Amino acid sequence: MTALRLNISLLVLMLLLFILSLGVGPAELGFRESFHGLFAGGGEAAAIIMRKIRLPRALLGLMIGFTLGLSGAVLQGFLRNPLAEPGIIGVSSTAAFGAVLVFYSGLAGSALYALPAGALMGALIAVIALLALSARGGSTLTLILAGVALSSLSGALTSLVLNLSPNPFAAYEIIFWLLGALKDRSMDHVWIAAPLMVIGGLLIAASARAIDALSLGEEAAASMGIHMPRARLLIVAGVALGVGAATAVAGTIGFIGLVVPHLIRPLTNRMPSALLLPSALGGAALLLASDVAVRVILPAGELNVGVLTALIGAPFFLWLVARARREML
Amino acid sequence: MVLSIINLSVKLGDQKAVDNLSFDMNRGEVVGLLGPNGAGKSTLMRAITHLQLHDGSISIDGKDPAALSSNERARLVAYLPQTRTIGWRITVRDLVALGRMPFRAFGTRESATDREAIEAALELTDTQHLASRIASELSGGEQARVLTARAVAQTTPLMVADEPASGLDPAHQIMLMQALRRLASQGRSVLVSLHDLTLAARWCDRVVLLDKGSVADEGRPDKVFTRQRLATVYGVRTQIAHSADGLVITPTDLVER
Amino acid sequence: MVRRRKPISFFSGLAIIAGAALAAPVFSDLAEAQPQRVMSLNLCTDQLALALAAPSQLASVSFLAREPVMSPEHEKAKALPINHGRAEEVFLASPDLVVTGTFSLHNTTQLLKKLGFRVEEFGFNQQLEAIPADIRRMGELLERQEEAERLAAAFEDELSSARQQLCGPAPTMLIYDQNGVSPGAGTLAHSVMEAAGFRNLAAEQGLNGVGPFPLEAVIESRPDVIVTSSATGNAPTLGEMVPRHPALKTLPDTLIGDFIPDGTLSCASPATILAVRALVELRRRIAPCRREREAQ
Repeated sequence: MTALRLNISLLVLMLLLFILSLGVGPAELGFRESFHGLFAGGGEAAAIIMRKIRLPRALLGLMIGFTLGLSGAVLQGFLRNPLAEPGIIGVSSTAAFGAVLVFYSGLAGSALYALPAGALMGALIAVIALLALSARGGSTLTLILAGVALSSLSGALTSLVLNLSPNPFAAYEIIFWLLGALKDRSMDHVWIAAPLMVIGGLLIAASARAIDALSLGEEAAASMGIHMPRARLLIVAGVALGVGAATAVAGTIGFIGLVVPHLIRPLTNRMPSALLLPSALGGAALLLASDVAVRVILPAGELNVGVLTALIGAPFFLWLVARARREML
Repeated sequence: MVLSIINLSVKLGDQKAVDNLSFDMNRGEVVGLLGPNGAGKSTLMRAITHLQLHDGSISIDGKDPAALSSNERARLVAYLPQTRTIGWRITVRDLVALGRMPFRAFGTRESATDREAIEAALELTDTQHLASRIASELSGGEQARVLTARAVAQTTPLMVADEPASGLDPAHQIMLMQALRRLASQGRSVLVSLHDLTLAARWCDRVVLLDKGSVADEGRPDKVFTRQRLATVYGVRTQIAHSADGLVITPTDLVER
Repeated sequence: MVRRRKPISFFSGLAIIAGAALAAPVFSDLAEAQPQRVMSLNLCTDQLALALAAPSQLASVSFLAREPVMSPEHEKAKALPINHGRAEEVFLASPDLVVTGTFSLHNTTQLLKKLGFRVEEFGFNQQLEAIPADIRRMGELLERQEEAERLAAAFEDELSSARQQLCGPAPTMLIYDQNGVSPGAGTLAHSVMEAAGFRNLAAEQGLNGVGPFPLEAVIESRPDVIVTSSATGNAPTLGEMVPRHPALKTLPDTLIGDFIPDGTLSCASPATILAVRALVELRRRIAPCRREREAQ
C-alpha cells in the first residue's frame, strides 16, 4: 500500500469515527436534529448539546488520539524500540502527577490552565530522564523497567496529593487521573490543549529526518548530517508538549501509542518517518472508537476510556513481549 | 590532499587516546589504519568524523569540518561505525537511500542524482540482487556490504570505515576490500581500520600503524610490516612471506618479555 | 469493668467483681443521671448533639463536624475535641454515652457495645418529617428535653407553614453536584424540594437515590432552577467543574446558583429547615403564588 493511499484511508476512517462520536450520547437526537444543532446554533437543546458537549468531546478524542499515536511513533523511532510509547515509559503518569500537583494544591486557584502547566513539567521530567538512560546505551529491559518505576512512583504520588487535599472529594478523582476520561469536557479544554498539541506535533514532524537516520545508530546518524542535540530537543519538547496537554485534560490514556504504530507498521515501508502521520491518524481513530464504545457499553454510567484502551493494549503488549522474548534481552 | 591531520590529540578521561598525531591522505587512496586494541584507531576515526572533541587541526578536502554545518560535513566524509545497527526491517534499497540524506530535504522526492548514486553504490558493493530484500534478514557478510553501500551512496570524497571486515568470512572480507578498491579507482578515498595484516597488505595503498595513540610508522605495507616493527607494536612474532599475490603475514607466537 | 474510688479489701473486691460479672454492664446504671461525657462519632448525630447539648456535656464530636461545607454547626464544633470514630479513641475518652449512626462503622459499634459502652444509634434518615422525632430522641438521651421540644416544635411549625403556602404549578429544580450527580426520589433533598414547592426533575426522570444525571439530559429537560454547591476556591476538584460546565450557562431561562446553604442537606438535622427556608424564598422570588403576589 502506498503511503498516500494509507494516509487517505486512515483519514477517512478517522472522520467517520468523528462523526459517529458526535452522534452518540444520552440525549436521543436524530440525525437531522444533530446536524442542524451543530451548524445552525441557537438556544435549542440540540444546539447546546451538539456544540458544547459533543463537539468538544469528539474534538478532544481526535486530538488526543492523534497526539498519542504520533508520540508513540516518534518515541519508537528515536529509541529504536518498538515497545516505547508515552504510557509504558511513564511520560503520561508523570504528566498526570504534575497536573495533579499544581491543580489540587490550589496554586493557581482553580484555573484550568494550572493543569497543562503542571502536566508539561511532569512530562518533561520523564522524557529527559528516559533520554539520559537511553543515551547510556540502555537496553529495552532498562527502558521498560524505568518506565514501570516512573509510572508506579507517579501513581503513588498522585494518590498522595489527592488524599492530602482538604477537599474530601479530591481523593475520588484518582480514577480519572489513572484511567482517563473524555466525559463532560468543554470547549475550554479544547482551547487550552490545542495550541500545545499543535506546537508539539510540529516539533515532532521536524524530527522526522532524524529518526530515519537513527535507524543506523546515533553515530551513523550524526555523520549523515543530523544534529543530534537538536533532534533530541525537538523530540523531548514535542512529546512533552503533546502528551502533557493530552494528559492535562483527559487523564492518563495509555497504549494507543503502542498498538497503533504496531498495527500500521507492516503497511508502510517501515521507515520511522513514514509511520508518523498514519500512526497519528490511526491513534485518533482508535481513541474515537474507544470513546464511542464506552458510551455504548454502559449507557447509564460511563466506563473510563483508559479502561478500554488498557483492555486492548495490555494483552497486546504482553503478546509482543512474549513474541520478542529473545530479542529483548 | 583529501585529508590532512596535524598534531591531533584526544584526551579520554585521564588517558591520551591520541597523542600529537599527524598524517595525510591523497585522492584515490585506500589507507589502512592498524594497531593493537586500544591504540586509538576508533578514537582517531571519530575525531575525523567530528564525533569526538579534539585538539589539533583536521582538514578534509581543504575545508575545516568544525566550521561547517552537519549537512556540509556529511557531504565531505561518510562514516561506517564499528557496531552494525539496523533498527527496523527496512529493505536494502531504502537503507542505501539513507545515504542521500545530506542532499535531500525531508519530504522531497528522490532526484535523478540520488537514484544514480544509489544504483552506483549497489553496483559497487555487488548488492544489486539484494535490493528488495529485508536488510536485517541478511547474513553478516551481506549486511556489511549493504551498510558500506549506504556510505558509498553518500558520494563523499572521503570515507572512514571502522573495522568493516570484522566477523566476516574470507570471501566476504575480500569482496568488501574489492569494493573499497573500486571506490578508490573512482577518485574517492577510504580510511579503513583493520586487524587482518594480510588483508591490509594486499588491499591498501598505504598503511598507518598506530601504537598508544601515536604513529609508529606509515607508508607502503611492505615497508611498514617488518617483523621487528610488528613485534614492537603488537607484541607478536610473525612469519612474513612474499607470494605472487603479495605479502602473507602470519602471527605465530607472543614475544617473550 | 468496675470503677473503684477507694482501695478495698481483696475479698470485697472479689465479691464486687463476681456481682458485676453476673449483672448487666455497669454503665447502664449511670443512665439515670444526665450524661456528662457524650461522644458523637457521626456527622449527623453531631448536628443533633451540638444543637441540644448543655455547654460541658459533649466530650468530643466527629472530625467532620468542623467542616464548614458539611456541618452547619461547625462554629460550635471548633471549641470541642474531635474524634475519628475509632474504638481506641472511645476507650481512652471513657464517655458515658456514645451516639452514632447505624450506617457508621459497624465493626466499631459492635466492639464498643461488647466493651460495655452505652451506644445509641440513629438511623440514616432521609425524610423531613422524621427530623423532629430525632430531635426529641436526642433530647431524651441528653436529658435536655425542654430544649429539644422547643427546637422540634419550631421545626414543625416552619415546615407546616411552608406546606400551607404551596400553590401550583410548581417550578422544576435540579440539584447538580460534583461530577454531575443528582439526588433523586427518596432522598432528603427530594423531600426538601417538595416541601418548598419545587418539582425534583431528577426524580421525575426516574432517578432513585443519589446518582449520575447526564449533562445532556440536563440540557434537554431545561430545569427552571439548577442548584450547585459553592466552589471550594483553594481546594479545587475537577468534579466541581461539571455543574459549572459552559453548556449549562447557555440555557436561556434557567437560574443557576448555590441557593441551598452549605451542609443543610448533608444530614437530616435541625439545620435542614434552613434549606427549606431558602427554597421557599427562592420560589417566592421566581414563581410567587397569587396570594403572595397580591400581598406584595
